[in-house]
Amino acid sequence: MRNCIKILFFLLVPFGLNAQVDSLRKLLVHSPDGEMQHNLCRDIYNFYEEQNRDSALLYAEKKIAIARKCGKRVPEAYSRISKAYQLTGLGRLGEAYRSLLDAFAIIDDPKLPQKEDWQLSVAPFKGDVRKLLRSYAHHISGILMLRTENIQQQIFHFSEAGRIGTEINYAPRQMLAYMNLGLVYLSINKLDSVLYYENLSQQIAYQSGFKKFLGIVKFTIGDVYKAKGDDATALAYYHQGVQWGKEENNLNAWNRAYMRLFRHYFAAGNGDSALYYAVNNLRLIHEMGQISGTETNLGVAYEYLSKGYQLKHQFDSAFKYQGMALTIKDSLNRIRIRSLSDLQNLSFGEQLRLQNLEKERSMYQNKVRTYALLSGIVVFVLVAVILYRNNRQKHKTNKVLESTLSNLRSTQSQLVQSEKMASLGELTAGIAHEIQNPLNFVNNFSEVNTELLTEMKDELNKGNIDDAKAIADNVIGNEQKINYHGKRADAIVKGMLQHSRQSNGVKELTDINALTDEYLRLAYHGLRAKDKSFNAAMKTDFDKSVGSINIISQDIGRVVLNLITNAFYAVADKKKKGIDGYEPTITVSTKKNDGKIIITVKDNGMGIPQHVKEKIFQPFFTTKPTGEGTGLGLSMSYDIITKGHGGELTVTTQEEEYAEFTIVLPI
Amino acid sequence: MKVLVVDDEQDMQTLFLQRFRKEIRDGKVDFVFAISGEQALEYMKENDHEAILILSDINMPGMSGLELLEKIKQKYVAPPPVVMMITAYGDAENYNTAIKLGADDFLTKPVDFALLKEKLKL
Repeated sequence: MRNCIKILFFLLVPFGLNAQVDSLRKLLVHSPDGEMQHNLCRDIYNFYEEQNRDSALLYAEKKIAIARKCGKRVPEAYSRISKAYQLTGLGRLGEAYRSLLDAFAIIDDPKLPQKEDWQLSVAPFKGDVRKLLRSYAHHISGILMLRTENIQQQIFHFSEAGRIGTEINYAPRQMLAYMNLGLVYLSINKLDSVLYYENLSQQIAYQSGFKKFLGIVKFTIGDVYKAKGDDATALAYYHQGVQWGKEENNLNAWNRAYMRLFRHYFAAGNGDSALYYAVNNLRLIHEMGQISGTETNLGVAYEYLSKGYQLKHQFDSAFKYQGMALTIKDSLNRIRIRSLSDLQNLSFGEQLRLQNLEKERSMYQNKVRTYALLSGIVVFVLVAVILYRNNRQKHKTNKVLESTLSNLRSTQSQLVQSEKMASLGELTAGIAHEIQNPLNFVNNFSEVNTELLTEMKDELNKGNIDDAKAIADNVIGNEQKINYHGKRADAIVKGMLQHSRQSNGVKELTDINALTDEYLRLAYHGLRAKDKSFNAAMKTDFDKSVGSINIISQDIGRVVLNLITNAFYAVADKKKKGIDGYEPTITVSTKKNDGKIIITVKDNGMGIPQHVKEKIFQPFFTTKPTGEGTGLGLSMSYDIITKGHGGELTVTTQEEEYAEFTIVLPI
Repeated sequence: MKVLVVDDEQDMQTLFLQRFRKEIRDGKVDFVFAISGEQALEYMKENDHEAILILSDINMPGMSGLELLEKIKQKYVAPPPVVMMITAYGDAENYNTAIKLGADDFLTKPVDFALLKEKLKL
């Protein structure tokens, strides 16, 4: 059915516009469907829009009624804006304003649908209808403001219309907004701005094919050239304005172009031309409706006619029209003033309403704020309660943890104590066993000696002096052995005491480099005293930044001495093997690294085999020939460094190459 | 009877010779000494099955007495020599290890030579 109408529409075009509207009217009478009725009214409205304001207003109202009946809010709002436009054109500004407010109320309704399947205007639109409506409403607001001569409001509304039109990329809205912005700038004589906006508008019109208002753009550009004194160009544009007005059935544009042509010819003193345009102007105004905009109205038409007759020296006609012009202008002025005050009252009322709204809103906001605050407080209290509970729980847990910790601490100290005891016990067991070796000799040799002395006595009794002497030698040898092993037992016990004694040494600030150097010398001289042939290269690498730290210097000194003695022993041992080109070397170095003091003692001796390395810090473990070492040196050193000073004693080695002992002491 | 005494302490040799001087004089026993496990093995290799009794210390530098015991018991299967361990460490762990490895007897230091003589039936 709709297609049929379209076909009809196109068929009708050549037969004349009025015939086409008549047939649309007929269709409307028979149309049962809301959308179709709306579309027919829309087309009829569009036909009358710039041709006859009263008819256009009628169809705008019909469209509103249809939309309301169908519950179509978007078409309703759109038609309300159209209605406002027609009312503005008719000078009924108060009503126009009310219609606009109704439209804005719908636009601002959050429940307004975003899409609309009814086609609202000449061009279909698929985008955000709310934005389309807003752009249109701002545009008509701008036109309404043209009547109030409030330039700022005009620029604001047309700019908004243009901005939103660009946002939704809808050419008619853009084109019209820029066109009217140009007109606003013309009224304040900003010619460059006028040209900019009118050219933009013209460009969009040509590109989009929306040329209905191109006539207005043309004569406005003509006005710019007129103002610049370029009459020829201005005239050409005026004629284009007339041409586009005729072509697009835009009587408003056509008529306003005529007015300009009249003014031009009147000023030029061309009576015939002036009168021609004045007469046609009046005809067009009659056709459009009684009252039009401020620029085009019956009063102006009569005035121009009067002026035209004056120029033609037909003074009676001139006088007659002048009188009519005055009467009309007077009434028009009264209407205009009433209309403006209407508008003012309305806008005052609207302002009051807006103020009330604002009040309500602020009250509502206050309420909301109060509620937000209250709920905030509730949440806060809740959080506080939860935090308090958590805190209490934490507190409890902390108490439990604290007692656990103190339990742990006492357990730990007990453990340390028991480990000490264990270590002492281990040591004691070790000592007890280790001491059996010398005791074995002491006991057995003394027993043997008793036997030998008895035998010697027998020999002496027999007079065998030589035999007796030989036995005496044996006894002496055994006595020496007894003495030696007795001393050995003594050394073992002393070592044990050293190992296990409660460290009553006090930690004092000690220069690590000086200490290390001192014990290096001590070790060297000690060894040289035993073996004069011994010699070894001693290298030192002391880091001056090491400085002094708190240690039990005697203990650390013993460790250093022990490590250095071991190192000398290792190199001496390797030297004995007679390896060619071997140079016994001992390197002692200190270093400060990562908040720790590091002392290393390195020898280039035979190194330590893996299976030995594992046992090296165990008490009584020694690789020295029996009797030469107690096997307590390194285990004691280990205890001093780890237990006594909280440090580390480690060894790295390469068999037959080197052994390096490292003491790490915390500062 | 040939007895191989293995002990890292040199004085052990003197002690054995003096303690058994009468038995040696009477030709009842003959002692051979080694101061390390390695040396003991060397001797045994050279003088196959000559020693019928081995008295070994446990704590020695290098090869320990227990290692020596293990090697002897693995190598000399038929008839294996009698091995007695003599050590200052008479604790249970040492004892059990020695017995497990096949030690025939276990003596502690100081050596009770009267007891040893009894065991050797001398």
